[in-house]
Amino acid sequence: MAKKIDSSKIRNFSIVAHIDHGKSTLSDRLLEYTGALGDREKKDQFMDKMELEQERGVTIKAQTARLNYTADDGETYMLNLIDTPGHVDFSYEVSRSLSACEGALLIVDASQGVEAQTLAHLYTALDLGLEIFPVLNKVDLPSAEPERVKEEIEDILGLDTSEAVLASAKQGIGIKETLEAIVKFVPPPTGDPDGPLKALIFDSWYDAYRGVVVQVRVFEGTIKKGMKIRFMATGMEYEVDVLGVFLPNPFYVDSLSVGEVGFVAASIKEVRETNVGDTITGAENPTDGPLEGYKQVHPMVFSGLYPIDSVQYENLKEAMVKLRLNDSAFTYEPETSLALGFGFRCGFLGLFHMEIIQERLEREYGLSLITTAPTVIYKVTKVNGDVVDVENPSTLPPVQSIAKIEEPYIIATIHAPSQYLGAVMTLCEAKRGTQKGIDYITTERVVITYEMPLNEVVMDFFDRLKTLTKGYASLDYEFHDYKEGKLVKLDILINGEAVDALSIIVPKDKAVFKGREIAAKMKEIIHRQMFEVIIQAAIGTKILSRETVRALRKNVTAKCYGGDITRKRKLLEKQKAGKRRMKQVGKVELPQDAFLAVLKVD
Amino acid sequence: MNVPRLNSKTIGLYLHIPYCRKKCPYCSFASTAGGLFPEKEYTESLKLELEKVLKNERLDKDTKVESIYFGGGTPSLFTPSLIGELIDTARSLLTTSAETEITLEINPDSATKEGLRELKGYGVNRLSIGLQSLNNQELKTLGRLHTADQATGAFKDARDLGFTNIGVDIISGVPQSSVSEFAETLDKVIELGPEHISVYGLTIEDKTPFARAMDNGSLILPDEETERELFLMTIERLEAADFEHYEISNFARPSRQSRHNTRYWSGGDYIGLGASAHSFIKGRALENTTDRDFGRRWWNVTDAADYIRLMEANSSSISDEERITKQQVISEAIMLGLRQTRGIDERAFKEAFQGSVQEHLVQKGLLNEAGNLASVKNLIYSSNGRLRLTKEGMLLSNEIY
Repeated sequence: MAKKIDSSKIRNFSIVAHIDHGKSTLSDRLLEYTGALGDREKKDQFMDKMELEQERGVTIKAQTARLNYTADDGETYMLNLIDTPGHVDFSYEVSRSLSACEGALLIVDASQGVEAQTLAHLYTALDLGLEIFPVLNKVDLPSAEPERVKEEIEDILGLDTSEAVLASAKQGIGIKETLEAIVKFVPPPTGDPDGPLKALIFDSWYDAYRGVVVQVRVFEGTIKKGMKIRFMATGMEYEVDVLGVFLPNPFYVDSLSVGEVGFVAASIKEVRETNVGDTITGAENPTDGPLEGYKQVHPMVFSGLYPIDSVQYENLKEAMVKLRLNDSAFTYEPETSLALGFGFRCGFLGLFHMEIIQERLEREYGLSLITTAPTVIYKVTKVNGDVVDVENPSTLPPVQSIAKIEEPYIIATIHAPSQYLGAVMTLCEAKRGTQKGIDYITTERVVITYEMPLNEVVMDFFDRLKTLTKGYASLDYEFHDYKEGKLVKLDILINGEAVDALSIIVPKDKAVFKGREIAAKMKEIIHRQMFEVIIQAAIGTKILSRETVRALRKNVTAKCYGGDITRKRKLLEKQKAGKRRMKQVGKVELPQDAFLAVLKVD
Repeated sequence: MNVPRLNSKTIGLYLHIPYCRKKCPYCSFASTAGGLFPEKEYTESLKLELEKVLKNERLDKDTKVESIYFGGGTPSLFTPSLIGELIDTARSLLTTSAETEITLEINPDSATKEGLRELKGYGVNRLSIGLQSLNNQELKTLGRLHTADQATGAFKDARDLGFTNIGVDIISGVPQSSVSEFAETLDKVIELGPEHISVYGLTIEDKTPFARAMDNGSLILPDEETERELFLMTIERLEAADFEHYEISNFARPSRQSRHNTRYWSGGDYIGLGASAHSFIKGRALENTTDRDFGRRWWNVTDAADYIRLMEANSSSISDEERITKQQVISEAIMLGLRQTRGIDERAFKEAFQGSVQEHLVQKGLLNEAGNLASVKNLIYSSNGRLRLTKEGMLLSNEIY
């Protein structure tokens, strides 16, 4: 491996696929075929490491693997597979992973055809100028219709399918052909191995032994062990301790040169210091400019995370410290709620990111949490001229002291089949969007651009969009600007007491409708208790709506004999376990869903 | 009462007769209808199982059987002489006395006077009649094969034959029936004058025809307020007629409580024989350790044919078992204790489990500190050293324990 590598023999590629279309299985087959994965390691889906990733079938962190492949032309090639995260919340990370590649395999299920989730990544790959070639997977299934799906790929995506590979990752069909296609279609990297270093960071994580480890792709020059390097965005300098590549198991090397993909450890303490998209250069002989496309990512969505049982507060804090080490986009700071006690206000890239973090905290750290409704940062200018950032609706200053409230707007870019144009536009308008453009890529596909309040998007916009377009729309968005809005705080009162954790900020003209809908939704969510529960929505002292959850009047088991005792006890135990998942607010038990009721209304 | 004597173990014996003439649409008990039930083979299997269990549990002839209960299914369909054989087997292997309560469940449509006479001769001294209602429309809704007249007839036959301990089961909350219709049944039952009355609110069990009818909307249960009224009225009327309300659904003349069922509710040992029957043997103090064994519960395979096959092959009929943990014993003691109107003996509870009942309820998150939840509506109270539920507490008992 220490041999000088000829960059014309390197191929850096990524795999773009719809969930379930077989990306992980194909990755594993490629690894096996090239001998990268021994029998002992042939655990299904090697590339998705986290338990959560395996379960959701979604990659959250980027993974890489170097494969050595001797092609039909007799030459040995170094193929670097760069697996990308798979969700709109991580679109920036995806774009950085893709830009580390020269080509991408587009996997399409030979019976299901082109599906929507692939598209966002595919368009990113096309925008970045990657060479794309299709692989039709699952051709062994009786329902496979490769010819129809090929046509679909040509019509919808405008890709040439004349040399598409027919494969079945499961059966090991078409694996060699896929490898040959990678060699043939993915262009080799270019760049001067002796020039000033220019390496792209596309992922980083915290390692208990080495500190922060960054994944890089070298575009120019060579990075060597012991070399002093500089991160251009932060200006921080480090000395390289360790260099290596994933085969996919870590393998240490002395240098990484043009076109190579590998990892770098340099006694870096925090993931925060390593920004995805940043350029690493030599401290001694720096390059004149960084690679394009770098952005500082900021959390866009905020919500409160509270332990259901207050004794878990310290554990939650420790767990967050650990998660933060690995996830610079996740932020937290302590906050206190009258209703929920001590907890944290956390920042996330989006709703999906929020769900992932909550699930990891619960699963990996054994915590039981309540998450409050997601919100954005509002800029509030007070009458006295002070400007405050409000990321928790309950901390909105009193109405009389507010001069204006501004909320963040985004530019949303939606790719959809043109037949859904009307539906998408209606949805965007309903979400307070202003149309910025409609561009037909083909007669079948359209790109719709809207300027919209971020708050509308963090709620349930994405889910609705997918439902409306039968999953065929893709969404990408970026922060645009802050704009003034007529906004008010909507409070929810439970048995006459405002519950701070349930407050939300809404457009004034929608407040009455929202208030009614939320109260009605909460009535469905809150289970009947031994007393009446009254739910009210209010703005200030003005009550907008009122719903009543009637008191439970009877819950008694009629028969309980010898044969029933175990069964009855188990039923009661189950019922009790359910109650432990609820937060006691005053004397009322509120399930997690009650705090997210706002997500479930129009 | 019920103070166990040293060096003498007492048990209750349950024998399950798993077949009926017709399956009732609300019933989820293990029972089949139709076909030729192999009574003889089943009887032999029950005898064999009894021998086996006694051996496994090291229960010798000194073990006293306080109650024998033939439940079902429909035990009154079973050939009386076979019931006799089973009682004799129990008598030969265990100690019985004139005091031993021997109950048999009968259905009005299958109990004949001759049969009952025979059963009495074999030692059956208590009958439990599946009367369910004395209103023909209700009986029809419930899918029962008998009429109100047959039901009163069966009761009177039993009385004539000299059965002095008769219980009847009735069902409240029958769909499309009114509170006053149920009150009529209650009054007629009181007039019949049984020693024991069980009143069960109709419960929809999974996978029964009634559950399917509920799902498709063709069966509508009374609303909660009506069910409350039925429950409270039942207590009122039966207490007025001098029945003691001794368990949520059970009423008895003084000292005529079902001894067999009271054993279930008091954590006593019992052995269940036959398809789907459950057994429970309390823990014994373990030698050389401070750990305690809190007992075992096991249950047999549900299918009677499987049961017979297993017994004939001399293999185990046990489907599954559970070792009871301390927490489970406590949960059960609270649940079963509070279901009885005499409640839980707080001192005995504390001695057995360390910690008071209230503390355990708080610890389980069922009561908040100082028992606030239950005090919301005055659901639970303590008097004379016993913790009991109020009537309101009974109505909401699943929320308390």
